[in-house]
Amino acid sequence: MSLKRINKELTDLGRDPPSSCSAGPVGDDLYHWQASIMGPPDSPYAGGVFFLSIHFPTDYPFKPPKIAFTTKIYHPNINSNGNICLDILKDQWSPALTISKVLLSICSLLTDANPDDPLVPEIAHIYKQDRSKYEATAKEWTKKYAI
Amino acid sequence: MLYKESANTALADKEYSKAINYYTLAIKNEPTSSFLFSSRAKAYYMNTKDLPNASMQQWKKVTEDCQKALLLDKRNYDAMFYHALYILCALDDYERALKLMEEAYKKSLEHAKSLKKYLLPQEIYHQILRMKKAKREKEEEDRIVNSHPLFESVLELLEQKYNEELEDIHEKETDKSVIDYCVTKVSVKYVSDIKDLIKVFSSSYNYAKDTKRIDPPDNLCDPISFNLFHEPVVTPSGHTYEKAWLWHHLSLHDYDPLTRQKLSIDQCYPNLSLKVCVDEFVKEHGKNLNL
Repeated sequence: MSLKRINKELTDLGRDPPSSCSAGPVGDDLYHWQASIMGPPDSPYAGGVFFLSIHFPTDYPFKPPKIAFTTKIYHPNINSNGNICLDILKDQWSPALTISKVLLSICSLLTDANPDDPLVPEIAHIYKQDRSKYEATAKEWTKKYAI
Repeated sequence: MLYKESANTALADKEYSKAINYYTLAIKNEPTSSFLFSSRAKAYYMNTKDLPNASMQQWKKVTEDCQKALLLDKRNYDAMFYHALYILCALDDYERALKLMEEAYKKSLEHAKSLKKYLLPQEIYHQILRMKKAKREKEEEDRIVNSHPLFESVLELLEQKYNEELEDIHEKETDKSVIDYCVTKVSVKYVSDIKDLIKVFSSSYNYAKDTKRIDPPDNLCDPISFNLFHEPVVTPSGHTYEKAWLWHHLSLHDYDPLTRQKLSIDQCYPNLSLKVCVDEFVKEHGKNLNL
């Protein structure tokens, strides 16, 4: 059953692609996708293109997809392995969500980080104490890894 | 007071110019009555809508009165109703007219009890349905014309031929009755040619539509599985899901997938009318459906 839904999401993405992201299967395996997100223009990630890997569980959409950044990114809610701390990818997942909606949520996480629920406490600390330093480092990493 | 009653009677008797004059007098006595302005707007509208070439000047009067009525009482949904009709008839803007009409409908549901002299919500709803249908027909027509550049070129050729034939008649014939006879003959032929042309192009369009593979529309699909509904059930939030998929979700979680409100199986009811819609849709498009 999950395959059919994944297929449908793929055609919907092709028909009506979100403006700042794209996604699609890596090879023949429909359960493994790659996605890309453009750094939001009003964030220190502007100008960068970030790649993510998506793995669908076999009981998708009842379980959330596993999504991780494959491009290095400096962000309080994303660690060095690319793991993302986002409620809808964990306990707040709903089967009515789609990859397209999740990618948009990740985009807004890039614009508005959530330092009160950090995955990387050091970055969250800098984010809260010295915002301009955080922005400078995030910009530098974007330039180095994502452009 | 007397003017107002005479105006209302004239309006009911469909004597619109008379009604307009009485309302104008009544407004002089009572210049802050929102009802009088929207009633005069109605009279202007009724008076103008059947004129074959109503001028913008005449239409303007409808919208001016509606705006004054709304300034005096922004709940006056009668004024909104006639303003929407003005936008439809005079500006030909289906989209905007429909939006305003829907707003009038909403307002009428809120205030129908306190503003008894205005239209009933049912009447406004009826008008909305009519406008939706007209809008769809217009879109269909536009699509046929626009999707076939050939249609336009053939139409131009026909028009050209028709004009040449008319000129020809006026050159060759001198007798007025003969001219009239020939002109009528040519015109009848011209009109029937155009009708044939539209018929040919629309049927080819429908044929193309018939053989195209179509995906079921989203509103007939379950938001969890993205499949066409089979046994839709509605939750207290008003959202509808496919029974089997929702049951599965509820075996893992205790909330409505779209609203996250707390939800249990016994709160859900079958959505029978949606099921009828799905069945109708399948009956109509079954052979071309992508499932």
